[in-house]
Amino acid sequence: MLQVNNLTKKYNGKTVLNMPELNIPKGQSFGLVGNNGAGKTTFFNLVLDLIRPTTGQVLNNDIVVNQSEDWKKHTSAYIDDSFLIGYLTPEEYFYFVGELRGQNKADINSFLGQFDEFFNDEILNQKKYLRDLSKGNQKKVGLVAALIGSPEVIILDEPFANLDPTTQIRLKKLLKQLSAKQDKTLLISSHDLGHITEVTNRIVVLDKGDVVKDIQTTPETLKELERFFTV
Amino acid sequence: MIIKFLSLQYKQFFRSSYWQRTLVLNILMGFLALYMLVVFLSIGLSAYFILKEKFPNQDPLYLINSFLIFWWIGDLLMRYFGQKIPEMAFRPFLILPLKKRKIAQYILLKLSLSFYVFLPLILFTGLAGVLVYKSYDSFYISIWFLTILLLILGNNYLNLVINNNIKIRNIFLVLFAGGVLLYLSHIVPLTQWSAGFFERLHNSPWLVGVAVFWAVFWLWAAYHTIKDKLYLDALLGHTAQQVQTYDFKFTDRLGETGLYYKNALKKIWRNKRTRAYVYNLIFVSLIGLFYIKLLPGKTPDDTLRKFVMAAFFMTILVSSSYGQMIPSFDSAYYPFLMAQKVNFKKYLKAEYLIMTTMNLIVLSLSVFYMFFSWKYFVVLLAFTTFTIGIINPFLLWNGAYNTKRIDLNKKSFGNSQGISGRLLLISFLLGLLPFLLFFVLLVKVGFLAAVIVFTSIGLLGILFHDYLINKITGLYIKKKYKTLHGFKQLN
Repeated sequence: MLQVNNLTKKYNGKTVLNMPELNIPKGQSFGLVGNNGAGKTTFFNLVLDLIRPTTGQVLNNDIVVNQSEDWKKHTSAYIDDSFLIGYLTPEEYFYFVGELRGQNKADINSFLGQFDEFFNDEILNQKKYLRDLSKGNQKKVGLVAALIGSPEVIILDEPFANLDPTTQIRLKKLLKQLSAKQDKTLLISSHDLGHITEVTNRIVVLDKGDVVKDIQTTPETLKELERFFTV
Repeated sequence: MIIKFLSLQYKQFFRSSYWQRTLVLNILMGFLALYMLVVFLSIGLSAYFILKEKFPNQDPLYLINSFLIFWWIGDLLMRYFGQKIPEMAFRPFLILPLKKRKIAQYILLKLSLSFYVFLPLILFTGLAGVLVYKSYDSFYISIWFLTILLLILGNNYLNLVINNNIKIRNIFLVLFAGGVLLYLSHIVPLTQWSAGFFERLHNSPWLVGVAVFWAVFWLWAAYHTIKDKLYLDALLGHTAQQVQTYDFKFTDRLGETGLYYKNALKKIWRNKRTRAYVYNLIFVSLIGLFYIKLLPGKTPDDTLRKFVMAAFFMTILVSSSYGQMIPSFDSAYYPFLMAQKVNFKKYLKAEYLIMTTMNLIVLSLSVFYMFFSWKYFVVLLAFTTFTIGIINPFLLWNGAYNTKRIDLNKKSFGNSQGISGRLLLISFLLGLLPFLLFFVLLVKVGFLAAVIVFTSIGLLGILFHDYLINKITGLYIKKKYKTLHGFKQLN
C-alpha cells in the first residue's frame, strides 16, 4: 500500500530522515517509535505531502504523493491540532470533513453513533467551539474525524498523548478493531511502548532519522524495545 | 529588565519568516515607510498655506483648531481599526520570578513608541514649525503642541482599553456617533467648542492640564487592563459561552464551493477579529456621505472628483482589507486542508465570493447616494465592477505569496498579528494605480469615458475569470510547501 524509495529529508545539510526502503503492505498496522527528533512526524508529513522530500519518493497505492493528489481520497490523518478548525463546533467539523469525503449529514450522524462510548458525553451537543474544548477532547474529535469515510490508509501521530486513561484504553480497543480489518492500513506513532506493541503487528524504530529496527510484533517485542531504549 | 524584553522583541521580529524574502522587497518597504513620513511632513508643512489660500479671510490656525476635534475622533477610530496592540508571548514569563508590573510597563512602553504615535507627531511638528515661522506666539504654540501630543498619547492608551472593554467602547461609540449627528444637524457646534478650547490655551495655558489628565488617566487604565489580562484564563477565554449555530443552508446550492463559502462565513462571524469586517461594511458605505457633506467642492463636478477617493475606499479598500489576509485566516489548519481532498480552485472561488459579497453589500447599502446625484452611484458601480473583475482576482494571486500566520483562536490584546509589509506595498500599488487612472480620465476626458473604461476593464476581468482562477490555483499548489512552512512559524 505504501512504498518508500530512497527517501531523505535534509534541513541545511543535516539529515533528519533517511529511509532507503520501506514497504507497508495493505492491511498492516504499522507502528513507529523513536525518541524526540527521530523523524517520526517528518516521515508522516512526507507521506501526507506536507513537506517535500530532499530525495526519493513516497508511493501511496502506486501514486507518487507529490505528483498527484489522488491518494487523498483513500487516506486520512490526524497529526496535531493544526488539523482542527477552531471556530467550528465538533458536529460542524465532522460534517465538513464528511462532505470532503463524500458523506452527507445522515451518514455522519449514524457514523458518530458508534463513538458514544469514546466521546463520553463530552463532545457532541456541547454547544462549544473546538477551540474551547480541552486538549484531550480536541484530540478525540481529530481522531474520530480521521476515520470518516472509511479511509484505507489512516495515519495517527501520537494518538495516545493527552488522553485520559479510560480513553486510552478505549482507543486501544478501537484501533485493534480497525487493524483486525484486512483492508485498513494503519500508521501510528507513539512514545508509549506498551500501547503500540498492543495495537500494531509491525514496529519500526527510528533513531536520528535512520531505521534501526524493523520487527514483527510478538509477546517479546515489548521487552526488546524496552531494552533498546534503556541507555 | 526592559532591555532584556526589548532584545527578545528584536529577535522575535527579525527571526520571523517574514524577513526571509527578497532584499528588493525589503528595500521597497523601507522606501514606502520613508514615503509615508515625507507625505505626513509635507501635509504638516503645507496645511497652513493651503488654508490661507483657500480661506484668505480667516485665521488658518483657527480653522485647524475647529477641526481638531474631528481629527481626534478620526485618530481614535483609525487606531481602533488599524493599530496593532503590541503583544509579547508573555505566557512563558508568568511563572518566572518577574513582577507583573514589569511586563505591563514594557507593553505600555512599546505602545507609546508605536508608529501610530510617530506619524501624527511628524505632521504636527511640521505644522508647529510653520506657525512659529509665521510669527505666532511661540509659547502658545509650544503649549498647543504639547496638548496635541498628550491627546495622541491618550488615544493610544484609550485604544488599548476599548479593545478590551466593550462597555467603554460602546460609551465612546455612542458619544461620537451622537456628537457627529448633532453637529451635522446644527444642534451642537462641535467645531466652535473645539476652537474655543484650543484658543483658550492662549490666555489660560494651565488648560493643558486637561490633556495631561486625559493622557495619565488612560495610561493608568491601560496599565490596569494589561495587569488584569496577565492570567491564563483571561488570555485563553475559559469562559466559553454556549454558542448558537446557524447553518447557512443557502450555500448548499453552490456545491463544493458552497462548502468553503459556508466555512468562510462562519470564520468571519465567529472570530472577533474578522467580525470587524462585517461592521466595517456599514461604516464604509457612509464614507461617501462624509465626502459629500463635509468636504464638498466648489462645484458639483468638483465634489464628484473628490468622491472618486470615497469610491476607492468603498470598493477596492474593502476588498483588500480582507483579501490581503487570504489564506492567512486559514493558517491554523492549513495542514489539515492540504491533507484533504480539497479542490483548490473551489476553495479560492469561495474566498473570491466572500470579497465579492462584501462589494455587493456595500453597493446595495449605497443606493441612497442616488438621492444626491445619480453620478455618485454610477461611479460606485464602475468601481465595484472593476474591483470584482480585477482587484479580487489580483488579491487571490497575491495570497499565494502570503506566508504570515494569523491565529484566529488566540484571544489576547485585541488584534495583533497579520498585516505584513509586502501586503502594505501591494495595497499601495493596488490603490494608487486604479484611482489615478479613473481620476485622470475623469478630469482629462470626461465622466462617461472614465466610467466606460473602468467598467469595461472590470467586465473583461469577469469574462476571463475562469482563466485567471485556474492560473492562480496553479500558483497556490506550487507555493504550498512554502506556505505550510510559513504558517508554522508562530510569530
